[in-house]
Amino acid sequence: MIRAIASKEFTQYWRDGRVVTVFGIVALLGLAATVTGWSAVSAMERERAAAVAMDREIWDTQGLKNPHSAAHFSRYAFQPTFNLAVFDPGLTEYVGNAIWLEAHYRDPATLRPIEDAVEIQRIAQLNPAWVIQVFAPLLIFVLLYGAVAAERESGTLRQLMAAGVRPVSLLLGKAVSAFSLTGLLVCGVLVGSAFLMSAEGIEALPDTGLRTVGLVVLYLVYLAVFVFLALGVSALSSRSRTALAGLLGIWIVATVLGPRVGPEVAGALAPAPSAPEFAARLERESSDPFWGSSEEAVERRQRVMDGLLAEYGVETVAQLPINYDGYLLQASEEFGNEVFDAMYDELWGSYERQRAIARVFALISPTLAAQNVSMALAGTGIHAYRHFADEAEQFRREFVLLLNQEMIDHGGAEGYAYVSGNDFWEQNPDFEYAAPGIGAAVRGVWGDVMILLLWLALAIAVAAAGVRRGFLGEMAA
Amino acid sequence: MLEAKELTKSFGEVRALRSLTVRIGPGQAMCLLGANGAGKTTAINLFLAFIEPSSGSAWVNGHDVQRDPIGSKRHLAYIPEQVALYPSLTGLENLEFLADLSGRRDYGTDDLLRFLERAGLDSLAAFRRVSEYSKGMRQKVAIAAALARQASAFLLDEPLSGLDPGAANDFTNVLGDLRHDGAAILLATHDIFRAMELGTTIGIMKSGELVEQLDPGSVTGAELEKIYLDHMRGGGAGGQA
Repeated sequence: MIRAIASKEFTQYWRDGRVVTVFGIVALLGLAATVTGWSAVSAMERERAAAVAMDREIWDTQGLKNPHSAAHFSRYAFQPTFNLAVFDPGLTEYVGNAIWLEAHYRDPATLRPIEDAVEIQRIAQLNPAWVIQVFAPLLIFVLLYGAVAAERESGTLRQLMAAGVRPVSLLLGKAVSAFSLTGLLVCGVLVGSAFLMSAEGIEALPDTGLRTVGLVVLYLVYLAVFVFLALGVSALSSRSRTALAGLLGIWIVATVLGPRVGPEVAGALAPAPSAPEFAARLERESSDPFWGSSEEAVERRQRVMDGLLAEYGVETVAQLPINYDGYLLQASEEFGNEVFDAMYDELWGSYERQRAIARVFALISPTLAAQNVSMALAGTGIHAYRHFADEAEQFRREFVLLLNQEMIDHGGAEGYAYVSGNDFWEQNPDFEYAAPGIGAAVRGVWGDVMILLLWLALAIAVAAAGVRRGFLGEMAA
Repeated sequence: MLEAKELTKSFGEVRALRSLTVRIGPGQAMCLLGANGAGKTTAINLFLAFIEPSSGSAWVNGHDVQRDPIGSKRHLAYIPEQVALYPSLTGLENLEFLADLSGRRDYGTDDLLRFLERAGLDSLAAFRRVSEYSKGMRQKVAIAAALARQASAFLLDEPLSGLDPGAANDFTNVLGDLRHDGAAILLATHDIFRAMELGTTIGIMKSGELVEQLDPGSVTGAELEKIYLDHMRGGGAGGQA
């Protein structure tokens, strides 16, 4: 019975010009988004490869220089744009993909592609995930707004009931047809993205296979939410036009307003510091208490010196077998690192508070929850960015230590006059980024997963109750 | 077989059907005559289990329609005044869908065309979309669906309303054939003469009550009309049982 209903629905879809047109437009959008996504990721990867090579070359050929001065001259940590960004670029365009690795300072990422975009491009960021998140629900609503209401209006619902069709059979038959059609679209976009993702020059994320399966499951659940919502609203509406109006309202709230209003409200309720404000505070709190002229700073430096003299059993700096300036610089680095840890924990904390507030809006917008999970699986969400930033910071600390150690060990009494040459720079390591596996990727989005499952349960309940009520109402008619 | 035992339905204070007891065996057709609101459609809705009886019971081929609605519907065909089909599908596709719903997936196109032909719809029309069909043609598809699902009991709710005389005659002939083949038919109608032609029993309903049952062989059309009108005007029975 379910198969018969689903098969009949397919034939009706095929003959309904509106459905074919909307399906065609969404499929074309998906195709265009996939190709532009691949093109953007390929371009970013080409640029990154060129930038990495240039950064290395500049470092290796900087000539004679004091190692600590070189630490200020610095290098970059570039984040690869991984294959799944073709499907869902997430925050890639917004968070920046290069971090300047400077001594005494933890930089936020720079080189945000969005900064090069004109305003209209910010609005029209076309990517496959966004097409599915926004347009697949619209397609579902176009397919299903009359699912029960139109059957009632035309009298066929009564005929189906007389033929012994149960509410659950009608519900599942309609759901299977719309779900299959839109599922086909999602799978088509994902297969197209997967094909282009495997293109040469685009680095693969760890667990790409598992992540892709996760994305398929995520979007099938997401589609199912809208399928059952549409069936419920259609069943509860007296007329198909009323159902269409109601569903368009849901579409606007879920896919347009929710994902925009949620983060805006979260930003207002739990504001993160502005970039200049944060940078100024970072510099002030990491530098002044160590290098300043305050009593506290003088005492701190004195303690470093006293400790070092005691360690070597000497009385003056001149008697030390190592370069004291280099040692002091490393000590200030370690002091600064503690400040960076505290301040960045605070910054990430403010982002987490924003996410928690925004998650409340996922209760009115399943799209918001799906977006978070999708970005996490694609390795393009805030947690993926934080992992990269933390890894880059870890490398920065090790790299600055390496340079300071060179000055400490070999600078002797030369102090800041000590210089290293290209043969030393050439031995210095590159930043090699290893992205986390799927386990770490999804750890931060379990709340969103639960909200999506809650939406699915709610949508099924509404659909079941609606169709049952529709049958009872028709019986009483 | 269609059977009602003391079947009663009230909507609040209004008694829509009072103690209807009938038994329509295989090869029998009962035609219910009565004004709008006399209880004809209520009786049919009770057989379809669309509504619950206030008391009494309805049976289709031994299945209590309330206790076993799916089992009873397996034997039933329902043809309302306006047969609703899917306009973007052809007559043949509608029939295929309706046959599928009753679990008959084994029919090929030739089988389905034979059912349509038996119901009076030619094969050329079968391949046209239902949006181009007349009311009579849609009813033929419904009859073909009943044949395809091998229904043995038919509930027809004023199917002759709005049909032109030719279509009404065709429809009555098809129903007559079904009755001869052993179907049990309950037909609600306003058409006294078609009722005389098809029915093995004529029932007159008034205010939810079956006030008289007649053998159409024992009265003329004119006599039946007079009996009917007498009942409608508030008078008593004038005919023979």
